[in-house]
Parts: sequence; C-alpha cells; structure tokens
Amino acid sequence: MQTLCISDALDLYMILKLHLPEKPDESGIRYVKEIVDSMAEKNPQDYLDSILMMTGMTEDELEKGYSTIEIRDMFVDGLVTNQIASLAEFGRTLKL
Amino acid sequence: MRSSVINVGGREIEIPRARLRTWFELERIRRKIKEASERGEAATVSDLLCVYLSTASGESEDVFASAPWYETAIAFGLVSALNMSTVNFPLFRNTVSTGKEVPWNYEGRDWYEWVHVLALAYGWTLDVISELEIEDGIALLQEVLTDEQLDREWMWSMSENAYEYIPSSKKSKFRPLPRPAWMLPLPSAPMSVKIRKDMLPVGKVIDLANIVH
Repeated sequence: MQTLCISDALDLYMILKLHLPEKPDESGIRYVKEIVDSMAEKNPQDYLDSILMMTGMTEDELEKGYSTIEIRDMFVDGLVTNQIASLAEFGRTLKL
Repeated sequence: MRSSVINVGGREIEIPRARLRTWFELERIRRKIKEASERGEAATVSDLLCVYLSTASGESEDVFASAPWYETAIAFGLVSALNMSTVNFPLFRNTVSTGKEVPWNYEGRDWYEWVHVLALAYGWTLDVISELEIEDGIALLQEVLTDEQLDREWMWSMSENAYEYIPSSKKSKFRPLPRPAWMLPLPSAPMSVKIRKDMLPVGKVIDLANIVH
C-alpha cells in the first residue's frame, strides 16, 4: 500500500475526522481500536470509504477479492502507512 | 540570503525566502487556505497548499500534488516558517474589516495599494518595491501611513470642525481625528495587587486560571 498524496490524504482525514482520538498511545493499538469502535457506533460506512480511499480499489473488487480479515488488515496497514496520527495532527493544525 | 531545503518526491529543493511581491501572494494564498479550511473544503485546501509551495519554489504544482502527503505537509510548514515576518508589526494588529467592497475594487488591488503608497513616498518603481525584503517593505509602509495620519491630524487640528462648542460650559472642546485601529494603544495588562496574607482564602486553593473552558 502506498502513502496517499495530499489531496487524498485530506479526503481521508475528512472521513476519519469524527473518529480520531485526541492522542495516540505508545503502541497505536488502542488508537486504532478507538477509531474502529467510533466508526461502528457513529457511521460504519466510513470504514468502507476509508479502505477504498487507502487502497484505491472499488467496492466490488474489495468484496469479491478479499475476506473480512484481509480487509481489516488492509485498513490497519493503510492507517500505519499513512501515519494517521500525524495526518490527524496536520488536519487539526489546518483547522479542517 | 535565508533559504530552506525541502525534500519532496525524492528531490531536494532549495527555496529562498520570498521578497515582498511573492510574500504578498503567499499571504493571500494562506488566507484562502484558512477560509477554505473554515468551510471544510478539503479539496480546495490541498490544491491551495500545492499552489502555495509552487509559488514559493517556482516548481510545478504537480511536484507537491503527487508527493506523499507528509512531504508536502512538512514542506508547507517549513516554507511558511521561512516566510513569516520576524517583526511583530503594529500595522497588522487590531485589523478591522468593514466587510464592504468598494465599487472600484478589483482582484489583487491590495498589492497595488501597497505599491502605490510606497511608490508615491519614495519614487520607486514596481520592480524595486517587489524585490524589497519582507520586513523592509512592511516597516516602510507603516512609516508612510504613520506620517500620513499625523499630517492629517495636524491639519484636522487647524480646522474649526475639530472643535465642538459646549453651550453649558460656553467653551469649545477639541475632538481629535480618529486613528486607525492599529495606531490605538494596546490595552494595558491588569495591575498586580498585593493582598495581605490574613485576607487570602483559607484551606486548599485550586487554581482555575488555566482551565480551558
């Protein structure tokens, strides 16, 4: 998975904005868990939208080609590759 | 000459500190970024970030648009810091916008207003003014505007309109010409008052001064 360009990264930030915790923890595990929990509670569609954004795949490609666990791993991988905590900080600095 | 080196898309780009004309343009873009952010327009913000970096570096916008996001973000931070004024000019303090647009306004007029004031005062050409150091340009503009205001105040004090007749006291009272917001004195810090120890609160005191509401 590749790091997103600035345009896609800010779009990703806008999708995740509602779900991003204030500060990341040391390992990042709680951070990711809080994002997923918030998505499940507030808007599950954001989970799919963010994976599509990070992978560049279509919904169809994702559903037919990958299992639920593989998709979850892609999500976590995408957050790590795109340094989500730093992206959150940047988005907040811009007051987006 | 000050400059910053940024790493974008596997390239090392040296960006010199902007001169007055470019700085003016960069500030205009920064304002647009702020406005777009407030409206929550992420696409406009990302476009403008690339325009900002392209204007500062002379490189194509694509260089910044196609790079990993953090490289563009770091570059924006570095270039913004590089082009910040090192002096806190009163000219930018207490700026009040009337929100009204005059009929003779046009795109980019604010720059030509600056050039007009400086050219009139010093007889410089557009090129010379454009190439001024950021602080020199702002400082000189402030000096010209200060001179103009003080001249106007002197002329005003000579006019009979500056004196208001108060019938009750049968005397005239001087009404000073209002000054622009940036020339007004700053509010003074509250005085620290010593309080006798026996008048201080007793028990455990919790300082709430720094609590964010």
